[in-house]
Amino acid sequence: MKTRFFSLKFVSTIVAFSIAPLSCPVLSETQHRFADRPETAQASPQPRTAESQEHRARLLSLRIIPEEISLWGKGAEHSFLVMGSFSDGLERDVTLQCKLITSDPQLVHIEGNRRVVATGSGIAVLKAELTGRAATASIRIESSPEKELFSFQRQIGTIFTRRGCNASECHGGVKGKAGFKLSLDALYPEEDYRWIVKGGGYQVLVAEAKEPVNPRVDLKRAEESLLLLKPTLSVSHGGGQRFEVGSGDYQTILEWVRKGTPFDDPGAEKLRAESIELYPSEAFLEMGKSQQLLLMAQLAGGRKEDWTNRSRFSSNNPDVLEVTADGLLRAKSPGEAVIIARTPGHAVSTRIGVISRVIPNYPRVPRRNLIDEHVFAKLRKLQILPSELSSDSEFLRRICLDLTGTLPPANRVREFLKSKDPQKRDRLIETLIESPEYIDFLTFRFSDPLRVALSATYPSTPKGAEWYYEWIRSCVEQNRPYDQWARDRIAAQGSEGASRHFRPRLAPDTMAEQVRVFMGRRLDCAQCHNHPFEPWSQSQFWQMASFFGRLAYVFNYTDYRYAVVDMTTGSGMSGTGDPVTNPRTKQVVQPAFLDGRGLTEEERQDPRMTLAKWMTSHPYFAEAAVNRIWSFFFGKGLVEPVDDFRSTNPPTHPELLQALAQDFRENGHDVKRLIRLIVQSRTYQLSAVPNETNKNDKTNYSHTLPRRLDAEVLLDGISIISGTPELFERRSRYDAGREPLGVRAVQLRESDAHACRFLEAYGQPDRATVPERDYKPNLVQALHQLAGSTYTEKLAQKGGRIDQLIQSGASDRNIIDELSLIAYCRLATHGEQEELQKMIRARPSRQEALEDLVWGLINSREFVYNH
Amino acid sequence: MASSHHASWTSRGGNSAVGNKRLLFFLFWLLPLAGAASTELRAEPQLVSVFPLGGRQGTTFCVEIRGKYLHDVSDAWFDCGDLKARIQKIEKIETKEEPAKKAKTDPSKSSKPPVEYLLSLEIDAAPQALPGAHYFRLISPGGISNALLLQVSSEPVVLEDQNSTKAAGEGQEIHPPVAVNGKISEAGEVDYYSFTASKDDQWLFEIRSAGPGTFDPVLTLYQPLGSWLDPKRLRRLAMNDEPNIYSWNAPRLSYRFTKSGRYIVAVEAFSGVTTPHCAYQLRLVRTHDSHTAEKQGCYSSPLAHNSEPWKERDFLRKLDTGRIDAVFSRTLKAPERSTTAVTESEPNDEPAQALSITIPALLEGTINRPGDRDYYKFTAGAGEGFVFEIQTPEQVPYQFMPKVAVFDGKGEEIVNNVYRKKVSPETWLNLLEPKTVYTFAEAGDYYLQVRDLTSRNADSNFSYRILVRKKIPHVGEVKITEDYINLHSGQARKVSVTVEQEEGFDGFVTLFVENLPPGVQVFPAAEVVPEKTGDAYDVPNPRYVPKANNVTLMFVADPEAPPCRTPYTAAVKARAVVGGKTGELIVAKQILFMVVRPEKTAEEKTAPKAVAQK
Repeated sequence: MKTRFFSLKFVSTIVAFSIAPLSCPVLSETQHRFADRPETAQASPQPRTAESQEHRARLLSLRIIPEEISLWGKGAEHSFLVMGSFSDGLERDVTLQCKLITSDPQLVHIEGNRRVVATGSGIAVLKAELTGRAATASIRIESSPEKELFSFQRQIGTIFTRRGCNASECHGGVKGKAGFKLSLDALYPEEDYRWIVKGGGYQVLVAEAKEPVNPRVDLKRAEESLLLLKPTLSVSHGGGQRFEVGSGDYQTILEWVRKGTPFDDPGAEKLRAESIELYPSEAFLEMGKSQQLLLMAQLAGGRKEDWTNRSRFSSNNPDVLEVTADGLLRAKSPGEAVIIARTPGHAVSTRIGVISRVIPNYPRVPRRNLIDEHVFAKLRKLQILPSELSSDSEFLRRICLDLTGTLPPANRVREFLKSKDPQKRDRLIETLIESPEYIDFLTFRFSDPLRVALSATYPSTPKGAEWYYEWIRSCVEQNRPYDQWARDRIAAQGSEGASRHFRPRLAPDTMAEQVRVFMGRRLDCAQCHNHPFEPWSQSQFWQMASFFGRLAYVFNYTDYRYAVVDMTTGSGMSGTGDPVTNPRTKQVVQPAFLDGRGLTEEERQDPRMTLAKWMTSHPYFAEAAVNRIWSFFFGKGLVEPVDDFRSTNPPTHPELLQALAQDFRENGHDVKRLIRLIVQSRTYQLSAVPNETNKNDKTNYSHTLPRRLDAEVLLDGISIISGTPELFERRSRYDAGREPLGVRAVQLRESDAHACRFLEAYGQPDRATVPERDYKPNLVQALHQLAGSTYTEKLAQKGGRIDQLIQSGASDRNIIDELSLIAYCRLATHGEQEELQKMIRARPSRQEALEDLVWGLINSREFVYNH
Repeated sequence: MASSHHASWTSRGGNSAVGNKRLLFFLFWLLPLAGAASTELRAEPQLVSVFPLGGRQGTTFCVEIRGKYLHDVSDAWFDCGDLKARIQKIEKIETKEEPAKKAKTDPSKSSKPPVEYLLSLEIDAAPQALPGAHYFRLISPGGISNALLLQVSSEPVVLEDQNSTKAAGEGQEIHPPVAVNGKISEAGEVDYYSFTASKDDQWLFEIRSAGPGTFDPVLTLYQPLGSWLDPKRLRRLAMNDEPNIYSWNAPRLSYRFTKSGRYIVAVEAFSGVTTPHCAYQLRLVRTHDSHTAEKQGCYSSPLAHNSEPWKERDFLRKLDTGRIDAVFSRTLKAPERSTTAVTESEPNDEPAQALSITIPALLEGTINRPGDRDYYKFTAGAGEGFVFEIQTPEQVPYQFMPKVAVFDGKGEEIVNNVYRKKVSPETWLNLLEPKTVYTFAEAGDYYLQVRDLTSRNADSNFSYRILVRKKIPHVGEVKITEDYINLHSGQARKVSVTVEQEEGFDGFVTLFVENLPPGVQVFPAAEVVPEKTGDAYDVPNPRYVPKANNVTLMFVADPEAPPCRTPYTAAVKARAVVGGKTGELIVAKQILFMVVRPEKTAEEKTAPKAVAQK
């Protein structure tokens, strides 16, 4: 095997062609120096500091959150926020700067300029004034009940949540901590009550408590209860001191124990929160500024309450934004952070931006469609200017790679760059989206999440994989509505291609995968225990798994085939005829949806189709679909990972996600239409060259972030530029054949059937589970670049591109241009031409010099990345 | 024709241990014969492949046959008299074996493999030769060979031009209707053929191979439109790849062209798996010209002479009103009443709408819409045994999976045709059965429900025929693996026969062998039945599986038995014996039989490996 050694001088001459392993995702300035300039001019206003801007921005309006405040009984309190909209487009928390008055001080008074406190009952108005602007909110004070009902979750669970006792890293973890288990955020108060009052340890797959079963409360000597001794650090406690003896929380628990540890008063279920909302739902803070959070709970009984002081707040990025226990945000450095608020039974999150500098006279950025509306609106709030429109070269390379996974031939590049047609980008999109290469590439894209592999189909033979692959391909080719794909796959029966992905004995896994792929939620954890981060219980998991419990295979020996059917009874997946049981409770489980609804008699006739219809009509479905398809074009989803939607993992652009999902739903789940919408957007077509305001932005699509090519696309690209197609040998034990010459890597059906070291080294997944591609550089890649056959023999191949170019008698200049057009979709710059020609002439062998040139090209970041 | 030699013996239903001690003596007598076997025994010719795969009716064409021990082949055998052949040439093939490498991977195979030969055969196909597949074999002093298939076509036949089939955008030009003989010689090879079609033409594309398991071809139809990225890119219009390699099914496409123009059809091996023997015949015929009557996708034997053996359990066996007569021919009784043909009449989705039938009845209907269920009502007496036989005449069962279930008057399902077979302590296999036997415990009215096993699949060709009849104890399938035997003079050869007893048959089954070569006798033999170990889970369910007895036949050639120049077609026949009365003779299997000289002559031992032209 040939190993390539270069003179440092030669390599350094290929200015744009870095030989470094793929560790730096950002294009070098040098490269951009040679990039074509964008054709649209855009204002480049000078950013100003936040401090200077705030003084200049005019207050346009005020609003009070919430607009309607309800209070129950004398002494009841409720926080509020006063938000001011300013002429610079920002909304700021001006609560403390406002003059606040109430219409009836006898009914309600204002405390600390932040909350109202009831002193009577009736209706009043809260008014906020600032620099000539005013806003009002109504206050309704109901007469208080004689005695507030006791609710274990509300009173005791709140303490656990607020003090972090039931956090996932403490007793709220899967198995609890130090033998004591609490449900995450008091999600399952009955279970918490059991572990506290009856005692014992939690066991994952057994419903019985683990010995010793000692209560954590002492009814005779309430002060001696472990539940008080531990958090006050009166005895050793791994979690340290959570509250002090005599504090409010201490007293609450003490009183509860003294009263005999009741669970809930009759009617207390009305006090459970049905939903919670965090305000402001969106905020952009200037560095050094503060914002108070307000958390509202909608109770089952109809009340709305201020639960800010019943919540625990956390920031996923305290270096950018920190949050106090009382919900006060402090902006520390530019960027974004997710703030999570947890209350008993619920968690909610919001994404808050911190602005570095305010841009005066922020320009109007041209918008093409709803994507641009949302993305650019957010960029404006973040005071980030989007990059300019990509050059034709950038666009051409990007769109070809994203829609077809291939590089355009040199003549097409010339043709496109030369064209003056103002509609040429849209025309090219249409051409590519109707091309056979698009069918191949979209099939390849979907073959990852839908898992086309020998190990993922049943029986594990190439025939099964072929049928399954052909089903996906036909969906792409016919542009079948995506909800129909999903229904076909979830509810597949008979021997149709979609049914080949069902494997035996795996009803729970099958269900979890369908939910993950089509609803973007990961329920897997709930198979063995309640989900540690989300409100999915183990029971819910098994109820959902039960939809697949009757799935069975029926064989016939007439032609040695099998069909997937739903038997009338039992767990067909194992063929035992046993009903599906919850492994922990050993109880028989009937199918029920995630929302808890069971099946009607009619629905029971075809449970998987019923589930498929429910899933595809659920809002989660369209969200998950558009998020996944979005990721095909931006390298990441609006929620990332694309199949990990969680209340604690919010989307970067929630409104955009909703708008795309709605558009997708309203237009018949048309994949091609969605893709067209995405690639026609200015957002997609922005340049990868950053500006001063967006160079640190990695989440808001202010410029194109270079994405490393998928292993298959990279190999195909090398095959194209070297003019040597790859030969793919199959390594399956069933068929040791070879793909026809000219088959591209993205056309390979199964990901685990071919012996190709290059694909392995560059992160081709085996699809044994729903894959997340690995784009990290590694040592094997570096070695492969130096000595691998793809980087050596392929370039020197007789009849390959270099050989052909030499035989054609082309000049060095023309060869350099030709190779540059293929690799980068652009002509070599003047500087590149001069240096490279000089170096080629200086080498004793023209063939070797050109091989080295191609080697440099295919190892450059400009080639390895889609940008 | 030599004189026929007959032999016979009897198998008793339900008694697998024959226990005839005389047989043991017979076995002792055989032992010295077996020991006399020499390593210098003549080897029978072995056929590996044939190319091209066939020719046209009324023409003379040449084929090359690849195989082992072909050096002294003297004649060819065909399954019909309309094909005759002359041997043109036999030559040794220089193989590229790597003995050292082979020995390293498989020490047991370190000895030198047999030499391979290429035999050229000139074949005359009479004008009346039936189109379709024909079996042929070769005959040498070592005996008769295994069979390969040869296609006879009614359309013109051309040969692949290896130089032009490899160019994807162009391909070899052909003019349908035509049959093209080609070969996929290398892994990953694709053969392209181009042709012109007019708007609204409907063509049938079909690939035939040498037989099941030999080569798994894939058929793809393209339009050479090119793409913006690649002017040579072919646009796929249709593809057919049969889902398994075990069936007779040939990839077949029926395509109606919506535009006039040039098209390309490609042939390749599934997953690029191939051997040097992967010959195929690609047929392009107008759909209405096709001599194959089957609808697209329908499973059928491609044999020109379709002499299928008796089938008890096969969704494709023909059920008609004469089926009962055929069943009775395998026992002694005569039919009590004739079969009534009943055609379904919608609406019949509910038991209340069931069509009343009189037993025996042949039901015909179609599951033509999702969720369609057809009900029929019949009466059964207590203790009466019924049989439900199912045929899917237009669809292979993997598409239409007919579930036939019987419900009682309370709506309880009491029997169906899904056999839940336990194959391990924890694993069950669901098998869709074409025949179900059931004895009713109580007298009353019952409802037969027919539906697709899935809840959603349906089609106008999901048609069924169901024969509902009372049990007729009879001789079922008589199974023999061998279809040819080469017996050396003075030697013996064991043949196992499995006799199935259907629907409670408890009589005797006598077996006969007719038309054996001179000097060959057949004896019943006993052999030690290995003790059955394992769990009780593998006890077959008599509702779906018949009882079966194994009989061992020992064919013995007298040391003086003269060698055969041509094969004898020996017939193994069976006859039911019940209550001392005998039934009709049933042909169980025809076996080509040859007696061969056991040892090579001194001349043959020193003969050159390759034989010159005949």
